[in-house]
Amino acid sequence: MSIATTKGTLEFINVVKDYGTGEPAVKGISFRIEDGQLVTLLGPSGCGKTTTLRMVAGLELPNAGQILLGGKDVTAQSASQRNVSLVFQSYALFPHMSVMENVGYGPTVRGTKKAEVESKVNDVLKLIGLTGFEKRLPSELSGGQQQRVAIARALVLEPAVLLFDEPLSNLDTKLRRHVREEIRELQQRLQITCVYVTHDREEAMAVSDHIIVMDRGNIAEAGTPQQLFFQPRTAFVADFLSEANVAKGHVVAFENGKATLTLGDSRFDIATDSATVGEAKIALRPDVFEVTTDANVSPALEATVQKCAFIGKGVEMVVDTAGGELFVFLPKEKTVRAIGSKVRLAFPADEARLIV
Amino acid sequence: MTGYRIIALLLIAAGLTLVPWYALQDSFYAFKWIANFGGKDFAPALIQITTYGKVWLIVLPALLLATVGLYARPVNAATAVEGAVRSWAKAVAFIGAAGALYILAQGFAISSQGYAFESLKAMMPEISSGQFGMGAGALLVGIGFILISADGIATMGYFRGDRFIASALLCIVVLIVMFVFFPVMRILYEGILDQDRGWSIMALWERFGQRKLWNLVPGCLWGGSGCGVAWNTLWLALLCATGTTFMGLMLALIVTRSNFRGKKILRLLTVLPIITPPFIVGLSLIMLFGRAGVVNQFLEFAFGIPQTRWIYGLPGVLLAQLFAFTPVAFLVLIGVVEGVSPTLEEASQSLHASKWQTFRYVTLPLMAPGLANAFLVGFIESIADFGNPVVLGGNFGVMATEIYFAIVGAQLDQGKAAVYSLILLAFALFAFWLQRKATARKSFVTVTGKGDTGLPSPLPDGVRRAAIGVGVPWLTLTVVLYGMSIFGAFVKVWGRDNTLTLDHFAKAFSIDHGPHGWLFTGAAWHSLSNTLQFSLAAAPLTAIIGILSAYLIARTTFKGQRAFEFLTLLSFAIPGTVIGVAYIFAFNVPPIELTGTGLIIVLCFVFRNLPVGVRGGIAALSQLDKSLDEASTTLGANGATTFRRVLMPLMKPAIVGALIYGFVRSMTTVSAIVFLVSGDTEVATTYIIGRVINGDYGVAIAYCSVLILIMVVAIVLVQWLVGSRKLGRRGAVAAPAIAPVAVAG
Repeated sequence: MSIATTKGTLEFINVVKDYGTGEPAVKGISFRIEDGQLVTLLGPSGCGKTTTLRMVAGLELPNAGQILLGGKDVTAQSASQRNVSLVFQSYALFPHMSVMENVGYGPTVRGTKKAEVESKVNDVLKLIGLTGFEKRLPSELSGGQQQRVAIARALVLEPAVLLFDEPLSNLDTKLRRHVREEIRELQQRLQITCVYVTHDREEAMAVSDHIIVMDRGNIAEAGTPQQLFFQPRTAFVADFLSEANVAKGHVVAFENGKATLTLGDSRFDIATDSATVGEAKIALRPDVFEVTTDANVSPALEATVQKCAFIGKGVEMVVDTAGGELFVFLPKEKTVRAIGSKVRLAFPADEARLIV
Repeated sequence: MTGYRIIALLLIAAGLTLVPWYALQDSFYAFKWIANFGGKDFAPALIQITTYGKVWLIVLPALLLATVGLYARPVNAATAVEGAVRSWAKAVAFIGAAGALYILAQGFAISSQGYAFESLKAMMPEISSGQFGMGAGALLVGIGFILISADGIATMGYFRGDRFIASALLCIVVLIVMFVFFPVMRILYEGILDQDRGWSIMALWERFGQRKLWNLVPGCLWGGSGCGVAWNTLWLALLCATGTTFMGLMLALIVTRSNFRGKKILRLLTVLPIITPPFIVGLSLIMLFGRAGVVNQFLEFAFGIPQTRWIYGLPGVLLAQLFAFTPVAFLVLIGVVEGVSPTLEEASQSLHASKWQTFRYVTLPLMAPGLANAFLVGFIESIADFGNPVVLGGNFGVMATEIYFAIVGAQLDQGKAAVYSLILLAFALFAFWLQRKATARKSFVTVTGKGDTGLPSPLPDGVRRAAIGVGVPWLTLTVVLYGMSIFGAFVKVWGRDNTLTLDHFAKAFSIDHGPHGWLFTGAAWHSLSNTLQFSLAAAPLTAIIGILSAYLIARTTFKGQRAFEFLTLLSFAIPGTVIGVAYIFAFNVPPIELTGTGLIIVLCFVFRNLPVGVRGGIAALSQLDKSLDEASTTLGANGATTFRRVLMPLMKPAIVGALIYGFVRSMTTVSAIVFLVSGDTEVATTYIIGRVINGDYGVAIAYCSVLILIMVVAIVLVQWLVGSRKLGRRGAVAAPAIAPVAVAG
């Protein structure tokens, strides 16, 4: 089966969703997803990502704003009219229908002839690797197989956009990596636009072309996984995606895309397109540090150990520095340091990011 | 034009041109109207307008043409100017509503003697004739216009544009308003009319303030006489509710918290109130404690104690109600006791509380809302009860029986019946409102999905002894009572002539072979076949309306949803006698003239049993994850398709449950229909009540036992036929979704 490359461009313009419970669930967000991309909505629970997904599906109608699908305004269209399919978190397979009936449900209720439905279902089941399971009931399938049936059921309508609502949350840890690879591989093969919702940052980075990080009904930041991980611009994204520390330092000079920072005793330059001279927040991921005994290495921070634990793949420490309290992960360390002991932590200048 | 619109238009067209507009003297299904097509009483609306001077009906074909005009020129949403679709839809909705309302309005405005109100006579043009009650034609046209109105409302964008939801909601609301709300309002109207049928608030006030109602003399509640009927009713209900709640709790504790051996039998008892015809407990008590009862005879024989009549009056009625309604409280409280989390009790014990302290300070408070619920259910059951007081009341009058005697007695005082009904209704609604509040409050009983491990702690000794001490005698007496009632059917004259006989069965159910073949000569066959017909007709209607209402309440959102839910559950709170009175007031006169027909009995069954269907449906739907509906919707199905293909199959157990209970409850209903039956439409319960009043207990009891047998067979048969066939293959994953619905309570 070949799924024709439909215009799967999806655009949100100032979309608001207010359930009337005080704070709006989604507070006027705008974004654009290009055809054939897999974009993840990432954020902690209650950030509005699922509401956003449900608005794409048409299960919720926005209070304000516009939703464009393939360039056409679909804001007022109901879920059954939109060319969009959703893979539910709970799969929502109809328990009284066989795999064949479940997958064939969409075409059937849209009035497709029985023979045609069957051939479509067979094509999709082949694509998804479930040939031979047509007669089974959902309860007779494993979790991973149920998941695949749910995807097949969504795919059979050849939707312009395929939506995933936390598709891995009902699978055990071992299966998760496998299924997420499968989803990504399938998406690449079909070149289908996908919107994927999760709160797991590793999962998000593994599957996505782009990530939209949401925070309390707003978009915090959007970008490729690498951009968001290595070059966050906000404290929220720095913390949420890489558990980065926010250290207090100063910008002493900024010119020609180069800022000069001071943090503790160290003074160093980083490349950045904007900075204001004065107090600044500097993001430093826990894994960029290294213990050094060389007092001349710079940039580096003098630190006092507050907590220290060996976790197998390395040592975790909470330390007190001139830039504030930092969480540090040292993969090469093997020994636990005494509380109160002093240590000098070096870090590469280009791993430091100015954030707001 | 879509199929939906074509159907709506065809319904109206057929209603106007093909079937009789007015109600027929005999049944529609006698099809005399085909032979006499076009005759004065049989003609459809169009001929009534042209030939028989019913010119006012001309509005309806005019509205039909207007609808056709609108449908022929639909607005294309893509090309139309802003708001054009909405105003087109508004026009459709308005015309539909106008058509449906006009049918009702003309029905009320023009009675058999022309205009029904003097003021209309002055304002409107003269008309040559009046009209009778509306019939099949009016029904079809009404439905058609409601469908059109729903189409307009949905097209305006309400209900997410889903016509199925809009039309289902509109139809159910119209039905409930017509068959629950309107009749009850009629009682109020009737109460205001004085002897000369003029309006008078004073008449209402006089009837309301009667001494017979509110008289309260010292000591009359404690065995004395002279209390007002209202006080009698309240006092009885209070005692009954306290007693049933206490007994129900004891039994529930035995079943869930002890290792008592008779537990299984106790569980079986929960079915009893559902399949027990309303007089059986009363009759058995008479056979046991009555003047000729076993106990009295024994006491006289052994100790020379003269026979007494204590059973007739408050003690007897109370005893009968305790036996009849304790299983109801028991059923409610089993769920409550099981809902108390064992972890909390273990926590209490680990904090060094004794068994008694744990029970007193943890278990009991956690059950408080459930106990309140059971109490109020007992209260409502008691004040609505008609069967037991009528059998055992003697001089002890309660509201339900007084209403009955006001209608069927020598006095025939409609005003009195109306006011008594209003007061009884007020009591019931107040209790119902309290009950809703008690159960709506945030329940302590938390059933989370998480595995709540731990064992329920054993009962404190005192509580356990009390529970067994109350439960075992109760159980024994129940078994004796029911055994007695069956035995009584085989005895010539109970207490006087104890020879065994099959006479009673022969009298009721004999079949003779005459020259014209087999003849059902038994006296009860007629009423039995009526009962079965009406119950079988009512059950599917109850199930359909109930499940649809449940779907609208649990699965859609619209303004006024809470009010709608209240409306569907309202008839639970209306005592049967009140409904009965309301129905005769409302449907004895045009425009909806139904008294004496089987239809009124079927309708009464349907709307009385509706709350059971609704609650069963809501319970079943809450077990089905909402994402199933959403999955269906995103795959392109509309509301109707989702309901039919996804929800209906998964709700099969609930539907079967609603069918069974609709059927069984219909068979045992008496209070609501006692006024509604005629000679032709007599049913089993009203036949039995006639026998009881004549003192013909043998036949009554024989008949009751046959009814029980039929109901048990029906339950088993339906369960076996549809219950578990297609659901068998499903494994553990889907099991919670199809868990059987708690049916009664």
